[in-house]
Parts: sequence; C-alpha cells; structure tokens
Amino acid sequence: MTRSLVTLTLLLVLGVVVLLGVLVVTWIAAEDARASRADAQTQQDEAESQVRELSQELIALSQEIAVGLSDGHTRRLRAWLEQEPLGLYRRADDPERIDVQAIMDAFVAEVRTRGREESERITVLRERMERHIQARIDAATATRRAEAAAQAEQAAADRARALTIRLGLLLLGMAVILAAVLLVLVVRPVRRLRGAVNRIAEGDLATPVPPAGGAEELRALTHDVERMRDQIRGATEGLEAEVARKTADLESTLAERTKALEELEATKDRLVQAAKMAGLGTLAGGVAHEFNNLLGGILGCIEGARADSSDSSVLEDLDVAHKTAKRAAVLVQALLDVARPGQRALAPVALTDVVEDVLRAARPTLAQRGIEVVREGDAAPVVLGDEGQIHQVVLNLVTNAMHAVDDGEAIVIAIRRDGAHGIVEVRDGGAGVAPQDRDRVFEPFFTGREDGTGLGLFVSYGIVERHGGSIRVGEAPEGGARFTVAIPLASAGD
Amino acid sequence: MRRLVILALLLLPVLPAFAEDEPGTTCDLQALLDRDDAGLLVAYDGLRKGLEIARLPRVCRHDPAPETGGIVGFLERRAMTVAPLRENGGRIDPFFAIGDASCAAVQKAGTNLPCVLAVTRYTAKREPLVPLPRAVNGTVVYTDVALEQVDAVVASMPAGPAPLMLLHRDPTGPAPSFEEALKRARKEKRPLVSDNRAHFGLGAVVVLVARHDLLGKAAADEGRRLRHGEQPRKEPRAVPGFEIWVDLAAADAIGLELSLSFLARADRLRRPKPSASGAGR
Repeated sequence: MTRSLVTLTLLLVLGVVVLLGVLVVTWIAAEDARASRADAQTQQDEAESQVRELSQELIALSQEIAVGLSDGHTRRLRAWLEQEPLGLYRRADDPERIDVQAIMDAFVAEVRTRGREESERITVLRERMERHIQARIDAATATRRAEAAAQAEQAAADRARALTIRLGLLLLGMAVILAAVLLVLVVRPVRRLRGAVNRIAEGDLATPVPPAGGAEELRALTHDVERMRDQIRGATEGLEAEVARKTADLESTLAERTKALEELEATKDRLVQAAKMAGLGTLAGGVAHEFNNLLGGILGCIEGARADSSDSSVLEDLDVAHKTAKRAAVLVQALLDVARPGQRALAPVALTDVVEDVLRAARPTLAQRGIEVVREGDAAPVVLGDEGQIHQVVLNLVTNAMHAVDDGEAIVIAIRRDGAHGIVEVRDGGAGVAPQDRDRVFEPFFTGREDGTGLGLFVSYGIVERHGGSIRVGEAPEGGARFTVAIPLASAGD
Repeated sequence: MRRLVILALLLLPVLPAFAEDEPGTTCDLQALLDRDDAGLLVAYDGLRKGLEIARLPRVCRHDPAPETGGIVGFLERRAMTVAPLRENGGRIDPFFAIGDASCAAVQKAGTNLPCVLAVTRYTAKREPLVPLPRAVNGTVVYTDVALEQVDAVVASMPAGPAPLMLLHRDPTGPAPSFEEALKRARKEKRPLVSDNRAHFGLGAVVVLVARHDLLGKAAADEGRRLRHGEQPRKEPRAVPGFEIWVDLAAADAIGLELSLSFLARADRLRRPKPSASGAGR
C-alpha cells in the first residue's frame, strides 16, 4: 500500500499476465490431455464397436454360408434319394427285389462326387469370403479413418471453441479482479478525494479531507489538498472578518445617515408645521382680536338690555345670548392665547403630578363610563414649563382618548424619559387617526367629532411648541391613536 | 479359355466316351437322339448309366439316315424285326427317343412299338408351357423346370442391374441367339441368365441346368419296366428341379458382386483364373 501508483500498476499487470499465462498453459495442457484421452477412448470404443459389428456381420454371413452349404448339400443328396429311379436297382437274380447294396454303392458314389464338388464350392466360397472380409475390413478401415478424421476435425473445432470461451471467461475474471483492485486502490481513494475537493469547492472548509489510502501518490495528493483546504480556510476567514467589519461600518454609517435624514425630515416637518401653525395662529389671533372687540360690545349691550328690561321672557333670551357670547369669548380667548401667548414664568413640573391631577379631574367621567386607565412607566421626569398649560395639554389628550374609546374599554398613559425630554404618551383602542389626516389633526377646527370645536389639539400644539417640545400622532399598539408629547427636562438629571 | 470351351463343345458330339457309342458295339437297345443339344447328350449318358445300373443291355444311339427313310424307315424296319416276337408273345425291347425332334417324329409315325420319349419342358403351375409328345405304346418322361423356381432364383440374386434372361421356353422352336444376348448383356453390364448348360463358361453368369442325367435314368427305368412287360404309364413322368451353376469369372467380368449366400446355394461354381500375383484373393 505504500508503493507508488506506477509501481503498483506494473506489479499488478505483471501479476495478472503471469497468472493468466500460468492458468492458460495449465488449462491447455490439462484440456489437451483430457481431450486426447477422450478422443483415444472414443476412437477405441468406435473401433471396437465397428470390429464387433463387422465380426457379427461376418459371423452371420458365415453362418448363412454354412447353412447354405449344408442345405445345398442336404438338398442335393435328398434329391438324389428322392429322384433316383430305384427301379434300376433291382437284383439280377430276383428282379422283384431291390438291390440295397447297389443303391448304397451308388449313393456312396454320389456322395463322393458331391463331396468333391462341395469341396470345390467351399474353396471358392472361402476365397470369396476372404475377399469379402478383406473388402469389408478395407471399407471399415476407410470409413473409420474418415470418421476419425472428421471426429478429429470436430474435436479440434470444439476444443478451439471451448478454449476461446474459457479464455474469454478467464480474461473476464482477470478483468474483474483487476477492476476490483483498481477500485480499491485507486478509484475509491480518488472518489473520496474528489468528494473532499467538491466539498471545498462548495464552501465546506470545516470538514477535513479524509485519508485517501491506496498509492503513495494519492496519499501525497490528499495531503496537498488538505494543506490547500487549510490555506483557503485561513484566507476565507480573514476575508469574512474584513467583510463583516466593512459591513458593520456601512451599516453604522447608513444608520447614522438614516437617523440624520429622519431628523432632518422631522425638523422639516416641524418647521413646515410650525410655519403653518404660525400662520394659522396669526390669522386666528387677528380674527380673535376683532371678535373679542365685537364680543365686548355685544356683552356690554346684553348687560345694558338686561338692566333695562323686566320682562321675564326677554330676560330669559338675554341670558341665553349672554351665555353664548361668553362661550364665544372663551373660544376667542383660546385663539388669542395661541396667537399671542403671554409671558409666563416657567418652573419645573413633575409630569406624574400633572397626569395625576388630570386623572383626578376626569375620574368621575372615567368611573361613569367604566373606562380603565393603564399607567406605564415608573419614571418621574420633571420638565421645565407652565404647569397649567401642560395640564391643559394632558387633559386635552386624555379627553380625546376618552371620546375615542367605548364604555368599559381602557386608555394607556405612559410617562418616561427620552434623552433630554420628558415624555407623556396617551394611547387608546379607538378608531385612531387615518394616516392622511395626521398632518391636519393639529390644525384649528379640524375635528372628527360632531360636538368638537377642533381647537383642543390646536391649542395643545401651540402650548407644546412654546415649551420647546413636540407633539406627534401615530398608531397605538392597541389599534387606536397614540399621541406623544415631549417637553424638555428641567435638568439633565430629571 | 473361352475358345477352348467352345472347341470342346464343338467336339462334344463326336466324343465317344461321353455320348457316342464305341465303334463296333453291339446294341440290343436303340436310342434316337436330337443333335447339337448338350442337355440331351447328358440325358443319353444318364440313359446308358441307368441301363447299366439295371444290368440291362447296352443302348446305342441310332441316327437314321435320310436315305434309309429316316426315323419312319427306322420304325418300319424295327416293326418288321420285332413282328415275329410279337407273334410269339416274346419280349420286345423298347426304343428311346430323346429330344423334341425325335419324339415328334415318333409321334408323327404313330407306331405302336414300345418306346420311351424324353423331352425337357418349362412348367407354370405344374402345367407344361408346350404340350408333351404322346406315344401310342410308350411312356413320356420330361424334365420339369418350374418357372416359379426360376423366378425365385432370379429374385435371390443381388440387387443391381436386372438380369438378362435367355430361356428356351419352347424347345420345339428355334433357340435364341446366345451371341447376341451375350453381347447385349456385356454392353449393358447385365448378368446373363441362361438355361443351356453349353453356355456355362462362355459368358453366362448363371445357368439353370435341368436334371438331364436324371431324365436319362428315368427313361432307363421306364425302359426297364416296358422290357419287363409292364404297361406304359398313362401319365408322363416328371423329373423336377434344376441345378444352379454360377460362373464367377463372367460375374467378375462385368463387375457384378454376387452375395456369398447366393453362391452357397449354387450347385456348381466356376472359379476365375487365379492371377499370378494372388491379388484375386
């Protein structure tokens, strides 16, 4: 297993050739010996069979000839006895009597004569028999030679065919053995090595290259591939670290830029909103100022009419007109507060206290409708502002939330600290604010309720802006609206 | 060899030891014999042997000359010779006629002299193909060659070219030409089968030989009976059977291989001339 591939292959081929040669020579020798013995036995058997058949034929012929001779001899003598005129053999002294001796003498003479003829006939038959036997032997010999030649030719053909088949099988067996050896020594190690290279090519650098085994060249190649895997893995790991670092940098830069862009967008929105709200405030302030002057005159007239009239029905109408005018005066005052806020002293305000005050004021209504208030956050940020205005903002948001939810539902009030701002977030599970309406929800007189004035969020927006904070609307996790108010903290530690 | 056989056959009628009587022989019995027939010569020889066995007087072949009246003249003279014996009630020796021509002449003469007529006949289903001669006061003997047996012999020959049959079925008519038949058989490589024993050794492969020797002995026996005063047989006396002679030289000449079993049944075999090298084993 430690020999080189070339040496191993040469040794393998040499071994196969030597083994094949030895097997072929041994097999041919054994086959020839066996075939020769079989052929000889066959020849002998057939020759014996032919000799036996010939002998039987000749014996039968001899018997037939012997029978023929015997029958002929007997027939001729019998014919003599039957046909010889015995009347000729009467005694001379007594013609009435037969001379038996004379008949016997004549018969003996006939037998002698026939015997000589028989001897001659036997001689001729013997000669013919010898000739016949010789001819039969010659014919049988020629036939046997021809058959032997044909059998030898057939045997040679059979032997050649058998040799071809067995040699083919032998070669096939050798090929199988050689293939098996190559499979074990070369193919499988190469296949394992190829699998390892494929894994490396697919990026699997963690799995080590298995030992290939087999020839030395393959082992060396395996070692080289393993070394290559280590180098690629080191280079890949460094490259991945660099890519990760670059990616992190890019992500950080992207996040910063995204944040800056978002802030820029928010600033732009706020500026746009502020400009829009400033314009609306100025307009509303101007209109409110004129209406305030008119309402002062109207109220004065109503006061004068009330003093001059004693009619109860008139007085009753004047009271209604007075109340309506007063309510209009309140609205006008609110608009004036947004347009021309007065100089108020800012002081630290605890948001939790403000929320508690608002909830305390709204408790009767909450209890009446069975609305639950869920508090979130355990921070207690202290912001810098006008407590009354901040109270109004929170009250507006809670009031809107109470209007948004049905009886028995809940609203969520979260207080937290976000950077330099204190946060109050009010969420509800109501219908929410449609995205296309979120930019207009802080505009004056924009309301979704039939009985609303559309000034609550407008006023709240003005208050928060004057505090240097912000107010945003969004979608609550509960499905309704979420209003988030951010007001700068009174100090960094709050 | 064939020339020698032919020469021997030509000389056969004049050979005294075989069928001719020795000059100066005194004969009490006489035989009329057709000429130029080997079978009849054998029959005449059988007649002489039979008479010898029976210790009867010798027989001589009588060939009546035309100028003496032929057979008719012979019969007239014989009638005159035996007339005293007939008047005295003495014993009248029969005479013999062998062959169709001689028997026909005797029948034609209508003599009432005791006689024995001997002829050869083929029979089919035991009936002669040609009518037998008749004698007023004599007995007819004939060799009975059954055609059924001839067919059986031909059928037992080895398979191959069909044999060319040369059978003299009507001995009263002209004999077929042996030379022409032999020429045709050799040309067609067919074995020639003949019923004339004279053809044996001349090229015929198989010769079916009637029992002429027995015919002669049977004639002698009938002559003995007549001489002893017995009445002639009312029915002809048949000598059945024939012998099978095989000429192996003729068979070899046409390349015909006869089976050994067939040869074993043959009554006579003619061997081919052995070769000097012995290759004909």
